[in-house]
Amino acid sequence: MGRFAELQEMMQQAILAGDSRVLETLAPGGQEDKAVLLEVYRSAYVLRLVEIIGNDHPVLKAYLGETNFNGLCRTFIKAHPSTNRNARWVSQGLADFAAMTPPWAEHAEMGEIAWLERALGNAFDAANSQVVGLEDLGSIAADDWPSVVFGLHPSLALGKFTTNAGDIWTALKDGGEDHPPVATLDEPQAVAVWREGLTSKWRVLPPEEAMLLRAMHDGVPFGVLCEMAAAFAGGDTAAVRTAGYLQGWIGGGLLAGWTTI
Amino acid sequence: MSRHPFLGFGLGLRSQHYRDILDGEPAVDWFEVISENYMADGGQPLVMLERIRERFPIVMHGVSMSIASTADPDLDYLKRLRALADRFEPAWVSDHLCWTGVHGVNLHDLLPIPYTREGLDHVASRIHLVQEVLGREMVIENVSTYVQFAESEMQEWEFLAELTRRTGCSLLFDVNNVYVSAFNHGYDPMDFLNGIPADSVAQFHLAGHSDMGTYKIDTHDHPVPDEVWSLYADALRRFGPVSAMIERDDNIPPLAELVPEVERARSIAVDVLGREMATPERSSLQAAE
Repeated sequence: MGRFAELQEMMQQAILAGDSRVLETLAPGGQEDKAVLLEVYRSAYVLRLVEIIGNDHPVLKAYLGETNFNGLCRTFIKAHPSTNRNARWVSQGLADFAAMTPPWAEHAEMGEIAWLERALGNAFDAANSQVVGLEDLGSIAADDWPSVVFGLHPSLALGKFTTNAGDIWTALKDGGEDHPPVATLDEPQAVAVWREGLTSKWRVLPPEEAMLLRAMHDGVPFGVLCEMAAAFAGGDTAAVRTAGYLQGWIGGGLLAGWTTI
Repeated sequence: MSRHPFLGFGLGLRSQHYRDILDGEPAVDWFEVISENYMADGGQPLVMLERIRERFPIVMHGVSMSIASTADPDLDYLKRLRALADRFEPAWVSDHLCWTGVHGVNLHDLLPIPYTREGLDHVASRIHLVQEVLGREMVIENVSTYVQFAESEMQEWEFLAELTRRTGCSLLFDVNNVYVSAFNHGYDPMDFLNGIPADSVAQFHLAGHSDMGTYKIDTHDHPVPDEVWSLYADALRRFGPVSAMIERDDNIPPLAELVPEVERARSIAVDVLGREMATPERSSLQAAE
């Protein structure tokens, strides 16, 4: 390793781990001690990443308060230094980290709020796709319907809440200060996050709709979706219910093309 | 005199201002966009950039090329950057003389380098590579620094001047960064200004900083202070008409508060150069067809 690389290695260790070896390689500062000047880089590193994460997670920050949020971010940054050039990905692992790391793991709503905010951010500039309109379905021949596999918008992310994290997010999202008390749900709720037009959206999915959307995500054809719905909640209205969900997905800009198998 | 098109007086494009820019007629000749903000697959950022590009010239400014890093070059990043540049046809593409991390880590900061012959060889080779992949000349910006390496064998401006000679790259002369670094390291900013080739400067950045008493920090969250305006006037005297812009990265005010700073940059250029020379070339103001 050349000296140029060695100095970068030392500087990085000074910033990440407080290693002071690089101090010996620095020239005296103009009007300030070089140790103080080196500290500018160390503190700026943490402050900048905490600020980036705060910009991507304003509700989590409001929910935790400045001090607790900073504590979470600092621990996260230390455990997961950024590996992506684009700062927008810095908080990509925050939801999983909060969900699995004590003491935050004891508060499932934190990881769930973090997941929702990250998913909304990811949907914001996910790939574009031509969406299907109701009028487009007229071109599908009646006999083809069972074998149609619908594509989903590339922005779609599916997750689940075990708490009322969604209600807390709604209460705090526009600068609100009050939120409902944390509650654990009787049954986990499925959640969809996607972008409609230029706007990121989310909503809770009823269990049957969640099952069908996940199956669609896995490439299951429409005929099988109807059979799954029949098995889930009775066959008499299965096709109608499935068609109803389909209409809702189309209305929300979630369907992006189809193929026939 | 700069060998680059004179775009006039611009502003760093920030998402908070999209609506006011598109709905109004801001007295801004061009916009600088942060490349990484648009290296996305879809959604609002690219739609907004398309609309703005229809009306304004742009330049692309990156913050994470890490051109001085000793880590392996990130060809995927460079190819995505090229795709963005090919799509939006900026007047030029710039990034900083710095590194942002090694060993797969990104510190999201513009970190200083020692100004050594070894460093010069390394950075020059990287600039050659980048220019090859991008298919265009690079514009390299001086960063604010708080520490200097004792092993440096030349001054920052000598390093930059040699880079332009070896690679044909141009310079983005950040007036605030020169002011901040000169204060922090105790040199005369005029030495920097006079030390780089007059025809190599493609662009000026104008910004504010934080004064910590015994040192200054390049926070880009304040209006441009008088000392930086004064150095800008000196830069105009030496470099002539160069595309200049206001760069605000934090504590971002409404567009209406930044436009007067753009106007001040224009007004100082008129005072220093005369109205005719401070008027951007009509051809360089053409937006995308």
